[in-house]
Amino acid sequence: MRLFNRLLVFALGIVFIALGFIAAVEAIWTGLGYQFLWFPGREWLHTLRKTPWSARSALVGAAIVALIALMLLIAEIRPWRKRLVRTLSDRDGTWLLHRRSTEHHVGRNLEATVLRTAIKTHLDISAHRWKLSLRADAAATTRPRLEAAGRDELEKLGAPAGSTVQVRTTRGPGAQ
Amino acid sequence: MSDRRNRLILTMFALILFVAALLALLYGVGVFGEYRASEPVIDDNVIHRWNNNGAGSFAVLGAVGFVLFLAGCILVVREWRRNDGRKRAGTLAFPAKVSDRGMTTLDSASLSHTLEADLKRLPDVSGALVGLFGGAPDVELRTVLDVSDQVNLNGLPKQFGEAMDRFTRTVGFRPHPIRVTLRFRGTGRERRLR
Repeated sequence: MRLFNRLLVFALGIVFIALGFIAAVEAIWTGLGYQFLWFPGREWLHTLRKTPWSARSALVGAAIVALIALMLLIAEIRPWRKRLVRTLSDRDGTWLLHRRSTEHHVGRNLEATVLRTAIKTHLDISAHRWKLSLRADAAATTRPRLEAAGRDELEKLGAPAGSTVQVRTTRGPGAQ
Repeated sequence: MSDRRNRLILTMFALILFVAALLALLYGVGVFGEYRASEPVIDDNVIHRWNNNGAGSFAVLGAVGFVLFLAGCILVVREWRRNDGRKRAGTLAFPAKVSDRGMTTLDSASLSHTLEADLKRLPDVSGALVGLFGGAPDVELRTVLDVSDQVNLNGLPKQFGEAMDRFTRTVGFRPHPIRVTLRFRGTGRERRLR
């Protein structure tokens, strides 16, 4: 979402430049009594003077714009996951962890603990508690081992004391 | 420009667009009266006002276009030169301490590269990016270290501190505040719960 926002703001800037430039030049040009330079202003004006607000084209246009704007608004105001994580041992805000790479790091270390097991990790960070969710393609009997290994990983990363590990396994208890 | 500011700009933009489009929609479906719904998008009243204002109408439109153009330039330039909303340190100038004449100037880019080279030599650190922000004597340092999965997180701050001591001895000042972001770099497959 952050990359999307950067690209969107950049694109918005380009659109503003183009629209602003055209509007300023056209205003000066037509103000001096000349015809429109780049866009068919007279035809557009004629069309807009003939189109009522209740016209199908006006309604569809407004509905599409409202829908796109609403989607963007929801995407922007919903809570985002933190990109950087502050560790408990860090008192002055010097040491931070990149959250996504930390998730991958924990996953790789756990895969080394429980061999031949694919593990997906998800880290939820709040001020006083981290929550590590693991989904392992392993038998349910490996849960305690994964939980203990997960706790070790959180401890190594300097997670707060009340942090929790939640393990989900995708194979039955008897499976190997 | 910072991510937070981008988010604020887009939220405001989306809100304005949504309210305008919603009002147009409500106008069109006749919430404000059937008579208004059947009026053209640009009615005679608008045309009349435009004509009455004469040259002023063109001047206002030109000014709006110019402001829009300026706003676009600011957005593009800030997005092009992203520093998380901070100003990059250019050349750092320190007045001489022992006399009131002369000063020492340091190129911040070369200082960054020097420190990067030193940090890359730390155990289990494969890459380093260093940015210096602000101006002398209050220089802020931000660095991103690429570390391996085997990194000793307890020992790394001490090793980093030693590298900073070497930097301080060489250049004669210690940046403050310092922010270090660790990015784990693995060699195998990477997965994440969706």
